[in-house]
Amino acid sequence: MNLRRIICIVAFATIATARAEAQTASPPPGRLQVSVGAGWLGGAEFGEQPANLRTASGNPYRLFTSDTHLGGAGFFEARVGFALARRVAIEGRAAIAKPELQTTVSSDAEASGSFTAVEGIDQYVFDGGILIHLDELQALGLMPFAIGGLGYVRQLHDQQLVETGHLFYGGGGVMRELFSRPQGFIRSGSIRADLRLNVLSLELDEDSRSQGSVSASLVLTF
Amino acid sequence: MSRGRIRAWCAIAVFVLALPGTADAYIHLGFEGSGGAKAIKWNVPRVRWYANNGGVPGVSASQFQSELAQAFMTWESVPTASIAFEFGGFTSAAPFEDDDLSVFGFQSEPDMDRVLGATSFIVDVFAGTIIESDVFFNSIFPWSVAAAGDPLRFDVRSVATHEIGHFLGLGHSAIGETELRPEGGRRVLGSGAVMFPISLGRGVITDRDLQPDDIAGVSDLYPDGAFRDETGMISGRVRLNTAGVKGAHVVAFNPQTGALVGNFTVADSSFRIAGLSPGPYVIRVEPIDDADVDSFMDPQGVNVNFQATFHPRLIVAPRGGSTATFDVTVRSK
Repeated sequence: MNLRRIICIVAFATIATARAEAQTASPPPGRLQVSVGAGWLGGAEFGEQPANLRTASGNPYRLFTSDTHLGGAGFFEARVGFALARRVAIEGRAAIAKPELQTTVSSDAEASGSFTAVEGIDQYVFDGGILIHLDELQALGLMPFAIGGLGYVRQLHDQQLVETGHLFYGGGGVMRELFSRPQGFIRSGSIRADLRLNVLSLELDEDSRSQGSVSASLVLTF
Repeated sequence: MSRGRIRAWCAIAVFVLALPGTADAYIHLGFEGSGGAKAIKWNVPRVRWYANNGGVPGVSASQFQSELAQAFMTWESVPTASIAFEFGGFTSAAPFEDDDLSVFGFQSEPDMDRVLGATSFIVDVFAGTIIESDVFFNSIFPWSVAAAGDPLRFDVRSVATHEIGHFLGLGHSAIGETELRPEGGRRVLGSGAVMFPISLGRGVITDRDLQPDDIAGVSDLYPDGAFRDETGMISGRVRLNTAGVKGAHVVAFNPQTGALVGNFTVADSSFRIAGLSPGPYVIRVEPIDDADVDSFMDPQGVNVNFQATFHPRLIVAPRGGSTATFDVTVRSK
């Protein structure tokens, strides 16, 4: 189900770019880019965690077993970029998502059956990094790029802080120019599709979690 | 002594002053005063303790003192708690003498043939502070200080770690599973806290190490500076049909770390579990059926006639705050 939605978003971005006829070009140095968009954040497995009790033999006594999964979720994002050179830009991004945590409990020592407990959390991400245009790979009017950077994660529940952490991301995408003007406040408009791998490390979580994401956004260059 | 003092006993199998209504995590020991329930705790920067200068077969006085010192260090090392201890010296004074000395020692109590050790207090009933606390180890049992334990003897340091929990003002934890022995008493299948009221048995040394439930309990009673700001609390009620349930054992399980921290519902059926790492928790509710109810609280009004139940939603403990109150509905057995 999640995969199908990802494919739909990518397909939409590709079709939209194919209709554009303008030739894509990297923004000249000194230009500011602002974009807004939406995407899909893939799920992450937290894995099995038994509720173990200590025993005289040293072998744990299992009170019950849990298996936790962070579900995929849509997100909205806003981004600001600044072209340092024709091929290199720095950018900052804010994104909000509401993923659901699902924990399935089974094999309880006293309660029969299994059940799944669910709860949504609000996840805010603020990240920044570098974007490099891969001009030499340009084809069909699509300008590929690579991105990488780091960020800050803040998770809330019922408006109360749950957890903070950081993330690293890397990935790439394509950009297609929709229009451009030699003069004016807005110099060009483009659409952009991103594919990212995010590695999250929350403060109290010993392990890092990897989450893929895909997004499409409308970009205006000033 | 011009101030009001009371002496109370707390045994490993039975104790009388558990007041879950005074605690946010764990049962804390306390008493009913004129102003209502009051938890007891030490109110000095370093608690001084003494070791009785008598030993028992297999354990000399100096070995006993050394094991006690390590058990005290286990509690003192909890990073989120701010309690400290100092050894005052050896003494000929016996435990349970009203001498303003907190004495640990062996004592023969044949009538308490299921009690490995017990803790007593002298308390300032106005301030709720502990003035003196004595701990005895029942010398009718065989004892050991062997590093890896002795399969025929009880481990001094494990029992000392449990009794020092009481010495600090903690009651018993119910995180454990037991089964009835045909000959009477209970066999522990598994224990999730040093403060579980029944020992894992001879030769077992696992109670030398504190568990998350123990750490939450001592941190709640003696919080370090940032403890309250960096941990969260879960608050709720337990219902059976439409009626509230007193004495339900509620456990918060962290599916990321595996930590188990518990508490009980009080007379108005509410519970609070504090000292939780922020994040989502599975909530499990069960009746008190793995030890005698009076090991934990006054049994009057305690309902044990319901099934172990999981709450259908994950409950997210916020950092530095509490959840909104939620209801957990259980079903009759």
